Amino acid sequence: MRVLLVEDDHDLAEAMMRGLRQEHLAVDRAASVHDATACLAGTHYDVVCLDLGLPDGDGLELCARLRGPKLDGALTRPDRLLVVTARDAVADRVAGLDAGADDYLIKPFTIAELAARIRALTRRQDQVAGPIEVEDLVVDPAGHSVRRAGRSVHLTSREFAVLRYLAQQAGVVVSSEALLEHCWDANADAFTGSVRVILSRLRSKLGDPALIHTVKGAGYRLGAPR
Amino acid sequence: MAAIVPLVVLVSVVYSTNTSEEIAVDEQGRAEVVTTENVFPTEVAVTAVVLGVVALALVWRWAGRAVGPMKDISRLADDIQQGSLDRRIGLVDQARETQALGDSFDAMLDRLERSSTVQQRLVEDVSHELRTPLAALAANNEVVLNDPEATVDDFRASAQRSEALIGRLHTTIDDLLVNARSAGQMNRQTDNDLMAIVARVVEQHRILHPDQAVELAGPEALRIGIDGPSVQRALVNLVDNAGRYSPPGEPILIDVTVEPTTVSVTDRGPGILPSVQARVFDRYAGDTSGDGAGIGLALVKQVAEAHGSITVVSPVPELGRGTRFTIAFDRARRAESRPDHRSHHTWADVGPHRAERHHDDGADSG
Repeated sequence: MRVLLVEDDHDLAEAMMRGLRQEHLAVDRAASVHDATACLAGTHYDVVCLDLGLPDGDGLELCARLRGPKLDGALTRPDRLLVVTARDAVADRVAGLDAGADDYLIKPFTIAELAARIRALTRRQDQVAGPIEVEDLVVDPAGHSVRRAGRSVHLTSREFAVLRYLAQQAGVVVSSEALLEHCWDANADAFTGSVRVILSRLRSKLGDPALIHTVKGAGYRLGAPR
Repeated sequence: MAAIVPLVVLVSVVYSTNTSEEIAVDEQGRAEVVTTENVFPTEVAVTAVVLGVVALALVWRWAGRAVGPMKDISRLADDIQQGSLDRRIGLVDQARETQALGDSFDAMLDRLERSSTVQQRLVEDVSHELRTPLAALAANNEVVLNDPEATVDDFRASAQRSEALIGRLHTTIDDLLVNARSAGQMNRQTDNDLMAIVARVVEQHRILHPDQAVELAGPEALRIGIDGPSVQRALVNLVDNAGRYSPPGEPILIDVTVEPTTVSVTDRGPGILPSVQARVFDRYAGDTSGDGAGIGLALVKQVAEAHGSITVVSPVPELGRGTRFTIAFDRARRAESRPDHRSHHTWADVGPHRAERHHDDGADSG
């Protein structure tokens, strides 16, 4: 999952990024409306976490723009929008949700709750909440645990992020580009080679029979096709 | 009730003029007062009653016109609560005194509403400015505690970040307290030496930032009527702000002038974009480092405007870059809460030595 964090407070942004990366999320940060639009021009984000008090504009306006019918061609609409703010009055919450936010979180909050809300927002409609089972593999998105045939598998943060992404779209082919876009952030300085490396490590850790199938020219698929 | 009086007077006059006293002399020559009662003539009675009714009606109407607005004011005053400060009496075309009363009442409601709005915004500022560093503190702690592989160095780094955040919270709370206290007190402006205040601020800054150069220019001393603690706080915030943006090795310049009385704080940093300059004192108006300067500058503006005015210039003309904040103290301004009837003489045309004499002349102005 790739998150764009729009927060002008340096200390808080750093803390949130650290926390979200601990949850195996890829996070980019923008400190202003201007920076946010620059990021949105290049990348498709799963979630945008938006602070409302930004130095060069109102977060709510950006929210409405991102959810509005006409979006500047250059920008990619994020899948979900989570407002994170200190404004806790009911009027503010209603305004935020009506402006297009999918959820509204009030500071201070725990990283655990922020991550849980992000997971809730990015859960697909047909997805069962809780651990995802693909054949004898069990991936728990919230608990960060992976078990194959009952045995625990130890993965690095990046490996877990990739496996989780594949598991959430189990049976569907996911391209390398999509993996790159959703499991790495701008900081990670990745290239397509990185995807191959991670996948080969995943395969060796998950063992036999192979669960991750390469579909030539298209990408990768976890488990049998749907 | 006022109608009863003329009526009673009328009736008693009519009644008393209906009895006549005569002094009659009887056969023995004794004087005797004989009272004869005339029959109460009907016409008089009728006139009396009609006049009475008319009087009653007139008085009722006149009294009503005066009392009506009073009742409105009274009812509105009962209704005014925190949320409904937007209502007004809105009297028009009333008798002069009543109109004046209605207008004064509405003007007072205007002031209350403005003050309430300012307070509300302040509360929102507090909310944001306290919650943001708290959220960062919470997140930092959570991250390091949740990391099963955290090393002692990781914990140390986290604790250092917490230390900085606690400092931020402390500063914000101080600013908010000054704000809250000064809302009432800034009208109580006492005699202070502005140069001494500036010197204290500079010294404090040098202790906290020994590597940062501060250049101070101004007179030996400058006595002026100001709210010392608020002005000191405002200057601390300005100097901190300048420090945050000064490139390493570049000094902060503080300049104090006597006539007009101003204090300028200049930094040689990147400056403020014209589009942002109007908002620089606003709540949340951050800087690129975004570490909570928001309420600091809002406080500066509040203090500056209670004493005079504040201007921002960026870039600074003679430097080609940087930012200069200038607080101009209006020495002619009197505290609004104590109207001074002697204010033909203002501080502007009365120099310090003559102020002493003025002070001796009569009642204390402060």
